Amino acid sequence: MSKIIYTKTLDPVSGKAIPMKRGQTLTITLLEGPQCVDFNCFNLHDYKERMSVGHMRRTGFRCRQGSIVWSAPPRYNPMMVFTELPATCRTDLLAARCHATQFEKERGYPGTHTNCQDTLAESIAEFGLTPDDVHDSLNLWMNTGWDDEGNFIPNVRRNQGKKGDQVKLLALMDVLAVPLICGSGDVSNTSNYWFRSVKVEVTDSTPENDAVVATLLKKHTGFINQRTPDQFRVKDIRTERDLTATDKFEPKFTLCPVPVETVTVELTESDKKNLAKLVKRGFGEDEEDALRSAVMTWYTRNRTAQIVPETLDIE
Amino acid sequence: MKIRFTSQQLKLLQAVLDEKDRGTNMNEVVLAIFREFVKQQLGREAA
Ligand SMILES: [Zn+2]
Repeated sequence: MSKIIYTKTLDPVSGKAIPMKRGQTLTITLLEGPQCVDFNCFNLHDYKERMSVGHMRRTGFRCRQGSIVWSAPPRYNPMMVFTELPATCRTDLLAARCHATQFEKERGYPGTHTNCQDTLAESIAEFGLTPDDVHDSLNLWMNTGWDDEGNFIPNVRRNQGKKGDQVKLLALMDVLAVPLICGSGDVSNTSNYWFRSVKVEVTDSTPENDAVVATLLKKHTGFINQRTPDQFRVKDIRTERDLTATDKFEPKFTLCPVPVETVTVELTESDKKNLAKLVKRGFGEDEEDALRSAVMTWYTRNRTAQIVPETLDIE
Repeated sequence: MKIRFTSQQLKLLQAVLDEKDRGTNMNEVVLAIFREFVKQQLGREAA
């Protein structure tokens, strides 16, 4: 058994910013039944590095066991990993977070309805962070959907959460983890028109979890483009709110202009026929475009890793 | 026929050239890849 080092019941509608060390596990437990839990995550030692739900969406619109909580590029570090995620905890990566203006504007709520933006802001204020530091949230027990026309379905399906459901997130770096009770619960299916308490608990690292951390860090870090602030062109965090252009600023884009080289190939008569066929089928605007597209499509198909959901494939 | 590639595209294709089983220069590799693609894409309809 791993040692419990922090435990708290989150009553409606509250949240808590919890500092965690690499290797520790955050367990979120539904104490009474269905309840949407919003979640933010910061690097404990550099608050500018934070979770990017947008990048988490690249492997699908839902999380599963093994899914990584990624920080935003150019850091792009694995912050946490789901080591447990029950089927009754549908996760949402589309809904961003509810906010007070939304309830006022869409539902005519007279005043400030409970909402995740404000609860997140109040929770992270303990660490000197501002409401602007709240970022798009990873939403647990939020049964949203979408259709193939691109319509988001925020509020039709009931929350499937069951009393006793547990989600476990293992920290892969030192983080400030911020779970909270979603404030939309009493006016939507998000939490089935009610609020319920959840328990949050941090347990210390175990040899098993340390092995998971080591395996995942080996897999997901060490890339030359996972940058740190000392590599940034602008390193200092701006303090004036007003934006003014830097005098004589010269941008240094990665490639601009893009160097272009020419490759010459000798096409046979059948090559020419095939190329014409590709153009006719709309595979390129002209023969050069079609041939280049053919070569690069081959590369994409044959030399590029598939984007698939992460799994907890620890040997 | 002349085909323009960005330096970045050629950097990726260089790895295929380094495999050495599709030719010994970029022209050969590009042509070989094009032909493989045509087989994938056009199948029996390829000339
Ligand atoms: Zn909410």
